[in-house]
This record gives sequence, structure tokens and C-alpha cells, in this order.
Amino acid sequence: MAARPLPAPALLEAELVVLVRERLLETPPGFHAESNLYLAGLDSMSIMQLIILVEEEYGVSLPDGALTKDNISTVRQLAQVIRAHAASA
Amino acid sequence: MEFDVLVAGGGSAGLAAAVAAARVGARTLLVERHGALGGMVSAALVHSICGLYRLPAKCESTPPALAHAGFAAEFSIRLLAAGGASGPVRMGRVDVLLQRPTAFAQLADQIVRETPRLNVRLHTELLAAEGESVTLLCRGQRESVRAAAFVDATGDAALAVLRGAPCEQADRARLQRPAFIFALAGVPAAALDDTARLQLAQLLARAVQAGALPADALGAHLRACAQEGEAFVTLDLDGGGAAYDPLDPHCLTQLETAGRALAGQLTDFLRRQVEGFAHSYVAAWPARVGVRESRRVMGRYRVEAADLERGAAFADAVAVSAWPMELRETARGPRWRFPTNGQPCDIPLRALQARDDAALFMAGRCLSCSHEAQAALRVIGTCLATGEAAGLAAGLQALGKPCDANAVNTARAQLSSRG
Ligand SMILES: Cc1cc2nc3c(=O)[nH]c(=O)nc-3n(C[C@H](O)[C@H](O)[C@H](O)COP(=O)(O)OP(=O)(O)OC[C@H]3O[C@@H](n4cnc5c(N)ncnc54)[C@H](O)[C@@H]3O)c2cc1C
Repeated sequence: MAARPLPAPALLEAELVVLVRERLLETPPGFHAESNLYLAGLDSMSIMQLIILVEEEYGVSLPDGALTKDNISTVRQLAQVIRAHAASA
Repeated sequence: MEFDVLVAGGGSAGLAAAVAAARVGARTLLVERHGALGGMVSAALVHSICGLYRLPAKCESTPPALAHAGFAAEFSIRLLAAGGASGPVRMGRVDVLLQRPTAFAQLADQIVRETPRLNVRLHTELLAAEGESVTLLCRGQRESVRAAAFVDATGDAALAVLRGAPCEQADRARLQRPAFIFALAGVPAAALDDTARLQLAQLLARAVQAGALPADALGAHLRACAQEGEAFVTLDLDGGGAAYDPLDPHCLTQLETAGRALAGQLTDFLRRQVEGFAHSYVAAWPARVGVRESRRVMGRYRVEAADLERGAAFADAVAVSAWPMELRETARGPRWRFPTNGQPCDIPLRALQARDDAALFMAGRCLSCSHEAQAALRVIGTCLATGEAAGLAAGLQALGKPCDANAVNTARAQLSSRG
């Protein structure tokens, strides 16, 4: 896995915004770390994608139950979940 | 046999077209190769109707408002009244009506029975077409039929091709991906709520990473059915990437067998590994794999992505599109492109008229538009609306009456108020 140290919080968010925009969803103009991901089209299928992309990109492992509907509704929240699990790993 | 209007294909667009042509006074024949009307709904188990409602205002809890008058509204209201649909439900930024394919087909039968001048031939394949006549084939028997006007609602523009009307098709690598949908019974509602589905997404991702399921399983999507205890599983398929060809029998065969194989693997996995699914079983296979896009007929106007983005208005509008572009160029979920002003886009009559063939109209997913625009226009709500408009225009024309956009809209309004 292309594991690398987690970037600083602001950079992690910026990277995730790009990852979502380029590899996951057709994001509306002006999409940013606090935009609602479900309104940009996040659904159960893209969540599977998201898990795999994030785990490959950052070498974290998100245990079952780590994600809830409400803790990944923005990139900012997602970054927090990733940091929490990178720290505990 | 002689008719005023022949409609090829009994999907949502063909049903609407045939009913509209007959209601406006034309002796109409609807030809369908399968044993039920509904097209992708009955044959491929598409189980929700999109494009019926206006896009909700941003971040507001505005109640859904029907975008269409006429047949699309009538059909959805009757389907709800018959208990064949539930909702609409809001999914992200859109409102969707959940429906049962069996109920869709039953309502189609009932409407056909109620409609004088409408004849339906099921199990009948359109085989050839030239000038005013078409050749039909049923179980090895040919029949020749004449008509004054034609509607191509075959989804694949089969009638247009047989009449020699020019069609176009996107690059194979970009065509909207196909999907295999099947019904799973014995699934408790709790196994499909938001939390459970999120957990399932994690389990599937894990299983794919571990090699317990093929990567294609990442195209799976489960949704509770309008029927308690049942779920529909949609498997988006890659179709061979740039080799995908929805008109090639080898490719279609491959899709059917690959779809069933993956459905089997996934069902096994669910039964063995996922809470709540232990007693689930396959309740129905589709009669055919779902194809979202193939040929489009070249019309007198081609609806473009830019029209949808700006909610374009046309002087010869006969229908509207109220759905965003839903691009499914990969089997990894949709990419949505919304109109910038949130407004519906007009569909001009010219997009339902073949460019150089005055007797030929088209509706549904093979109308005249670009690949991107088709990503919005293909949904069932819009198919019902374009079908109705094409049927009215074909009927009026066949009867020798004025058949411009104004006449079509007047006829729709008169029929709705009588209704
Ligand atoms: C997997 C999948 C999921 C989808 N999900 C949704 C959704 O959730 N909501 C939504 O609104 N839309 C959805 N769509 C899109 C929508 O289902 C279709 O675009 C729409 O049903 C097309 O309707 P149609 O009448 O134009 O064509 P079709 O439904 O394809 O009907 C064409 C009919 O013509 C018949 N036919 C073709 N050629 C001949 C011939 N030569 N002789 C006799 N009969 C012929 C066919 O048998 C068929 O019945 C989905 C599509 C797919 C494939």
C-alpha cells in the first residue's frame, strides 16, 4: 500500500477535496471542505469507493463501524475520521 | 392491416406515445417483443421513476411538485393510487418515486384496455420497415402492417435504423454503463436502513480488498423495494470498458451471464456474512440486462448539455426535462451535473422529429440529443413526457390535422381536462 505519513490537517482536507472531485463525484463549482457530500451525490456505492481510495492513499484502516452517515457528511469530518484512525493505528 | 400510427417498443415512452396517439383519435398499433409493457422497468427491473418532479429549491424542505402535465402526471398518480408506488422520497438533491415493476406493467395493461383505437401486439418483433409499411415477426410468422406515421420508442432506435434514418452513438468507452438488477426477498427492513447500508458498504469494500468478492462487486447498490421484505440489488457493470457494445449479441450474452454470476456470488456472500440476510434469496432475475444508452436518432434539433445546464426555453417546447445529467460512464456510481439555475429545460418538438424523415418521430432514451444530455433525458418521467408528445404529434399528423408544438400542447391540455 502506498502508505505515507498523514499530511497536516489543512493539507489533508485540501487533498481530500481534490480526491473527491477528481476520483469520486462530479462536485458542484465552489465545492470545499465543508460542502455537503450527500448533496454532491455521495451514496452507498460511492462510499465503498471512498473507503478503498482513502485506505490506499493514506494507509489507514477504517474499522467496521468507523463511518456513520453523520460523520462523513463533509470532507472536514472525513478528515477527522481519518486522523482519528491513523493516530490509533 | 392498416393503422394511422405505429409505435415500435412498449417501454415507458412507447406506452405513453401509443396511448396519446389513440386518445387523439388515431388508430394505433403498439408493437413489443417482450410479454409485458414497461421496457426497462418490466424487463430489467428498474424500480424507481426519476424526472417526475421539479428539482427542489436549494436546502429547503419544499414538497415535491410534478414537473409534467398530462400522461406522466396521470401515470404516476394512478400508480400511487394502485399501491404500486411509494414516495416520492428525497435522495440528496432529487425526488424519486419508488415503484414496483409488476405494478407498472399491470397499470400499463389497464390503461391499454381503457383506450379505444389502441391495439397492442406483445411477443412481436419489428423486423423490417420501408416507407409506409413495416414487417412484424411473431414466432416465425411474418405480418405486414401499414401506417401513416411512426414513433420509434425502441430505446435502441431500431425503427429508425430499419427506415434508414441517420442515428448516432457515443464512443463505446463513454457510453453509460449497463447494469444487472435482481430482486432479493427475505430481507428485513432493518437490514436496509441508512446505518445498515453504510455498514454493508464497508463490508463489501473489505471483502473486495480481501479477494473474497470480485472487484465488480463495488458496482453493487441495494435499495429497499416498495414491497416490504424485498430489496433490489443493482450491479453496475463495466461491460468490457471500451469494448462495451449494447447492440452486439456477443456482448449482450456476456453481460447476462456475467451479471447472473456476480449476482450469485454476491447473494452467497450476503447470506453467509451479513447480518439480516441469512434467509434472503433471489426472488426474480431480470428478463434482460439493463442498457442505459445506445443509439440516438438524429432529429431536427439535438438537445445539448448546455441547454440542460441553463434550463433552455424553446418556442416549440412540447415537454420538459427536470432531471440533472446523471453520468454513469463508469461502473463506480453516478456523477451528477445540475442545471446552474435549477430550472427545467424545454424539450422542443424538433428533438422528437427525425431530421429527414417526415413520417418518423422518436421518444424516450433514443430521442435526438447529445450523449451528455441523454444522461438526463433517459429517465422514465421524461420518457413518459416525450412519449406522450411524440404520440400526439404522430397522431395529429396521421389524421391530417395541424401538428405543430402548439397543436400538441393544446391536444394534451384538452385530453387532460377530459381525463
Ligand atoms: C440499470 C438501469 C437503471 C435505471 N434506473 C433508473 C431509475 O432509477 N429511474 C429512472 O427513471 N430511470 C432509470 N433508468 C433509465 C430508464 O429505465 C430508461 O432509460 C427508460 O426506461 C427507457 O425507456 P424507453 O421507453 O425509452 O426504452 P425501453 O424501456 O428500453 O423500451 C424499449 C422497448 O422497445 C422494445 N423493442 C426494442 N426493439 C424492438 C423491436 N425491434 N421489436 C419489438 N420491440 C422492440 C423493447 O423490448 C422495450 O420494451 C435506468 C436504466 C437502467 C438500464
